[in-house]
Amino acid sequence: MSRQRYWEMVEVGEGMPEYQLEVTPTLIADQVSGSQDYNLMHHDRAFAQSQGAPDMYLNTGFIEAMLCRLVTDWMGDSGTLKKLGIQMRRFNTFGDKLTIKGKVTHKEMNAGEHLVYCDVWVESDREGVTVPGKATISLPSNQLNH
Amino acid sequence: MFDLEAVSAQWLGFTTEKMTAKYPVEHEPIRRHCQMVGNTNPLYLEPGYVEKTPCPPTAIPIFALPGRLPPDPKPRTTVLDIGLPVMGQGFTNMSREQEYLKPVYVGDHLAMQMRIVKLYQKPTRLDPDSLWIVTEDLITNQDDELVCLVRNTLLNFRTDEEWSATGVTKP
Repeated sequence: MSRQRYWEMVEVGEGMPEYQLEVTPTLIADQVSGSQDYNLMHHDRAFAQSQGAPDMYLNTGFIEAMLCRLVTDWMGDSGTLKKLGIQMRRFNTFGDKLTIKGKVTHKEMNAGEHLVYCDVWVESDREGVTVPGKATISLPSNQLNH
Repeated sequence: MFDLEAVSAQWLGFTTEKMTAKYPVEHEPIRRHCQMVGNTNPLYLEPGYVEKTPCPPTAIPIFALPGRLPPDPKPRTTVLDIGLPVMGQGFTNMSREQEYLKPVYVGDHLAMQMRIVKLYQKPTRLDPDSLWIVTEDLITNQDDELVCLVRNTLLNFRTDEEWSATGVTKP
């Protein structure tokens, strides 16, 4: 349970609290278990390299889950993540240290909804921004609660 | 020889039958989905809360794919399952957009249809004839309501092993 964020509180340009993850052997195992993605490129170094990747690399579902954590922690329990889009520009591979970040780019009311648009992304210590993305969030309004 | 024009004529717009997931939405996979990224929000983890909380949206596709459970060690992708002709045996996702249209709860039972919406070739460093496959997954609940729309761009390419087998040097 996290502190609730209301639409009126949000300022365009504000950042979301970032966090870090390191791609360790345990994280690779958790990735397979938590994403149910058993494709070998995500947990088998030799297979990943045979596919042209530098090493085994995190799958799309894992990256979406990282960004979901970023967004849902920021928005609070009554917010709703409505849309998440990502581009896989670089591999996030074994040993990488990742930082997950986000920033508000726009807010508007649309069809009675209080919407916030954000850039969200993953950076690695090896490659810089590896996965840029965009999220659309619906927040409650504190004007409706008073 | 891969013929994009012929493959497109046959496969663009192809939609699979609706495939119902083997298992309903359950707490345990939600917990593992959250814990893999250190998401400790008790609404997703603690019995008593999780049953009343919408499933984390990024976990929805896990509960819609009939092929994911039980574990299958073979590299797999739905486009291979349906028999779409491809360039090679290499695959990697390039982008994905998910739109969450209705909340999903523990106990819901999801189904999925996939359709092929775009096929094109554009060079990449992996293969000068890389095939880009754009699909949409329509995920519905037990009341046939659309709960999630997933648009995925999958890159298909020839692996180094495949290049070696042809005797042609990879450009």
